[in-house]
This record gives sequence, structure tokens and C-alpha cells, in this order.
Amino acid sequence: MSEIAIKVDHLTRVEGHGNIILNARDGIVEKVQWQVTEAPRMFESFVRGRHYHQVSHVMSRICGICSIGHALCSLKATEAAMGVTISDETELLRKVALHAENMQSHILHVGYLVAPDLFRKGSVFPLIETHPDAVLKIVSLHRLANQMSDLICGRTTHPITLMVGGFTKIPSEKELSTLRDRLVSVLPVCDEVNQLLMDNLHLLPDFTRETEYIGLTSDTEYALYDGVIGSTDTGTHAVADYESIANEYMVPYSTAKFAKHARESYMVGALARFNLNAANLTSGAKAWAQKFGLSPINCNPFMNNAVQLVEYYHSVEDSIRLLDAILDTDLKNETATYTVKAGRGVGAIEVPRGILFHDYTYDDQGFCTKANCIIPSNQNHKNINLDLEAFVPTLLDLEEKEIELNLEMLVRAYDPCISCSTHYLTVEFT
Amino acid sequence: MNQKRDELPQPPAIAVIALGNELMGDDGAGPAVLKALQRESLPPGVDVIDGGTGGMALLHVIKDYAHVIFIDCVDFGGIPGEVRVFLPEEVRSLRGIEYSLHQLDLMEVITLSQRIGEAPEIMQIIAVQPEKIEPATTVSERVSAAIPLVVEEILREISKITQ
Repeated sequence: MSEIAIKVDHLTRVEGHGNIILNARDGIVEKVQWQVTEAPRMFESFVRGRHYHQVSHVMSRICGICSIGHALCSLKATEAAMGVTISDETELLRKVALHAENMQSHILHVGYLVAPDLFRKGSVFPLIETHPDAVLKIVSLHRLANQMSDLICGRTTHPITLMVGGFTKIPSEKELSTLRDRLVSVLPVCDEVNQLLMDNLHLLPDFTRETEYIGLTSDTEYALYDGVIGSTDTGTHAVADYESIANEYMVPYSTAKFAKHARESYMVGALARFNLNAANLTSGAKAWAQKFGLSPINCNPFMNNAVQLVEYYHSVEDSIRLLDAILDTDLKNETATYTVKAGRGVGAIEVPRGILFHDYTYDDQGFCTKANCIIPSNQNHKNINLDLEAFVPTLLDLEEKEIELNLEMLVRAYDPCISCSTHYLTVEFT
Repeated sequence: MNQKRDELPQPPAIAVIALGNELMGDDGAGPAVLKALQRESLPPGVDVIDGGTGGMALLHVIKDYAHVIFIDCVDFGGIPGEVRVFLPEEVRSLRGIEYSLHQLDLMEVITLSQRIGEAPEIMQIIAVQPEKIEPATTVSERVSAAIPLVVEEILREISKITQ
């Protein structure tokens, strides 16, 4: 009788705390589960009673990785509630800010957290010894993305320049022009990093499972900042109908909510965006998608990692286009004028891990009376569970350690962002 | 809070980087020191930086400095409120090197910085032993009493470097 019992407590190289449970006996899977064990965050309650000016700043604290996306989604919801129309310049700059965040997050995930799997190393540290040039290039791509955030948003994390109707401060023409030139110069570095990782992508399991993919979509661009809700199963839906898309529900073994739409589960994130919007990628990003062997609809969740590299490339190229458009205008900080009024607004935006919704109701003084947020990682939990169920039977002949590694890699491929906690050191003197 | 480096006369480029989460009791020791430090007059060439809860972003911050002094809440097995000054090579993290984007600890950032050849010439850690790490917006009495001692240590170290 053979028995496999795997319990990965607090999976590493993901955000926050989640466990993987697997029990199998004589080749039969008895239990496989992705458990999220974080405490609820209560952010929707935090903003009730807050003035609309404060809401995006509070909500950006939901995440230290996607803080720009949360702030932008929050601003979009507030602006929708109050009927605020932002200028073209504001929209272009916001799109650059969102690209900066996607670049930051994607290169962190693929470069520091997934690359060790591709090179069969436990972390990025042994990778420095064997592939120092690659690590330096990854660090330089990460640094550029951070500096982009600093420039547009006032700091790397938790933006301070973004506000309802526009920006408190915008960069100078010289600063934007310098950023544009740096983005152009970094494309060859992206090529080198992509090539290096592509050479090892064959180490990712060849696993596919059909599912529904959901994300923003648009006829005119690779939808990140704006669009309608798209589903590979059911077509397009209005953003205002987001609750009937996510259909959130609770399960007894997880503190996070789960979601489902046309099937038992759906996937959001880079792979979903690619499956919905690949035709609108920039030319260089399309070329990399082709080299990675990607074409929609791709149902291998491990390829989410490859799409993140494609999206980094897209964000660089599209940021150059956006900056050209901004630099072509008479650069001035155009803040929208508006009247505070009661109302409800829904914002939707693509953050690195998928589609994000914020929904607020305000009273006539501009105080928030109700809030609802649906976060990408929650929308993926059930899909991760079903992937694990389908993946495990293909692994049972492997050593237990190898099974565990494969399961960890699968969850990590989703780049789940579970939550934050405290971080203090524990050391001993040597 | 941060003075602009390019407005300063001659570096030595020194950064005092305070780390910690002020919503988690004694983990807020770093931010508490930061507030106390703002009441002090520092010599030119010193940047005081709120490093938040650390993470990979620190890698890009520290590379620009010749000398970095980290202020952090560290469990080194001491008495709550005890202050220790040490160099990275004098300790090893008991967490081991396995990280997420949020949970990268200070020792890992320092190690990565050293291994890619970007580390400041000198890095020191001024550490406060915590009593309680739990949701709270104030530090414990013993850690609070240590804050002036940490500030004294920082000023002493800065004085040594700039003399």
C-alpha cells in the first residue's frame, strides 16, 4: 500500500499565507486542497464614513505590490460615482503608472520567484552564483519599473500624486523624456532576459485544463486601465454587472472568498488577459508571445509566467507610445472640475494578478456609505483548487518531494497575492 | 522628510533607514525612532528614510549610499528594550532564505545586495529587542524607553563616520 501525505504549510515565494494539502492512497487521490489561512482584512469597513479624498489612499494599502492599481481602481469608482471626467493627459499618465506597476510586479515574480524553479534552484541566491549576469539584468528591469513609479506616483509603493480628477503633481517634460529614452534602451535587456528564461521554459509542466478566462477587454487596446468585462465563455459584460460575474461565495476551509461564473471556476491574470486580448499586444510583445509558443486560448496555467514576460515587454513598448503622446501635448497639470454629489460608482482595472473591482456609494457630502472590493487572487482560488485536482493524478508516480515541488510551482504560477503581515527579524549571533 | 541629496554639499552619503510596521506593536520601533530623529539636527549628507516593512525595494535604495544604518526591531534573544549594534556578517537570519515579495527580510536584502556587488561599503544594524509583536499602534514601555538610546547610537555612529 503506498500513501502520500503532503502538507505545505505557508507556501513560500508567494504573497501571504496559503497551504497545500494532498492525501493519496494506492494511486487514488483522497484529498487535494488549496487553503487560504489569512485573517479577513475589513478594508470595505475602513472606508465607510471616510471622505472621498481619503478613500483611494486607504484602499491602496490593501496591497504593497498592487497599490497603484488599487488607488487607480478606487479613483475610477469615485469618479464614476460623482460624474468626474478626467483629461486625456491624466488618463495617459495613469496608464503609464499602471504599466510601471505591472512591470514591477511581473519582473519580481518571474525574475526572483519563478526563475529559481526554472533553474532548479531553491531561491534567487544560488542563481546569483550560476547566472550572475541574468540576475543583474533582472534587478535592472525591476529598478527601472520602481523608478517609473517614483516619477509618476511620487513613490514606489502607495502612490501619493494620484487624486480624484487628476494628479497633485506631474513630472516635468525633461523627466518624462528621460524616462522615455530609458524605456527604449531597456528593450534589448528585456530580450536577453526573455531569451534566457525561454531556454528553460520547457521545464514547466505540460499541463492543461480548460477553464473560463475573465478580464477587461477592449477593441482598441490591450485592456489594462479601461474596458468592459470579457469572458472566453460568455463574451462581454458591463463593468456595472461585476457582481453577477464574480458570484462570490464562502468555503469552510478558507478565509478568502471564492468566485465562479459560467463554470465551477474561472481564471484571471496575465494568461486570461492574453487569451482575451492577444491581438492588441504591441508588436514586440506579439513577437515574444510567438517565440514562447503562446496563442489564445492557452490553457496551461504555468504559461502565466511566460505571459508576464510578454506583458513586461508590452508595458515598455506601450509606455513609450503613451509618453510620446504626452510629450506631443502642451504638458500641464489638468485637474478636472466637479461637484461633490451622492451616487454609486464601480471601477474596474487590470492589476498584475487580474481584474479588480471597487464599488463605492457616497452621500451628498462625499462620505462613503458602502464599499465593496473584489480582488483578483480571490477569483483564482477555486481555479487553483481544480487545477490541483486535475494535476495531482499525473504526478503520483513521482517522489513525494517532486510532487510537492510541482504543486508549489502550480500555485506559484498564479502569482497569488494573499496578504501582508508583520516582518521583523529573528537572528542569532555567530 | 528626506533631504534632497543633490542639494547637499559634500557627501559622505549616509542613509539612516528605519524599518517596521507601526501597526504591530514593537515592530513599530523603527518608525518611532524615525519620529524622534526628526527632532534632532543632523549634519549635511545624511538622508533619513522610512523603509516601511522593507522588501526588495530597499535593494534599489541602499545602492546609492556608502554607509547605511538600519534601524529595526530584531529578536536577538535579548531583554525587551535592549539595544544592540551589529554588522550583517555578525549574525545569521533564523528564517532561512526562502522569501516572498513582502516577506523578504532585511538580511536577505543585504545578502542580495552584496552578492550582486551593489552593497554600500558599510552597513550597520541598530536593533531593538521587542517585547510584543501583535496588532497595536503603540510600542511597549520597555521599547519606548529604548528609543532615545537608539537615537544616541545613531548620532554617535554618524559622528564617527563624518569626523
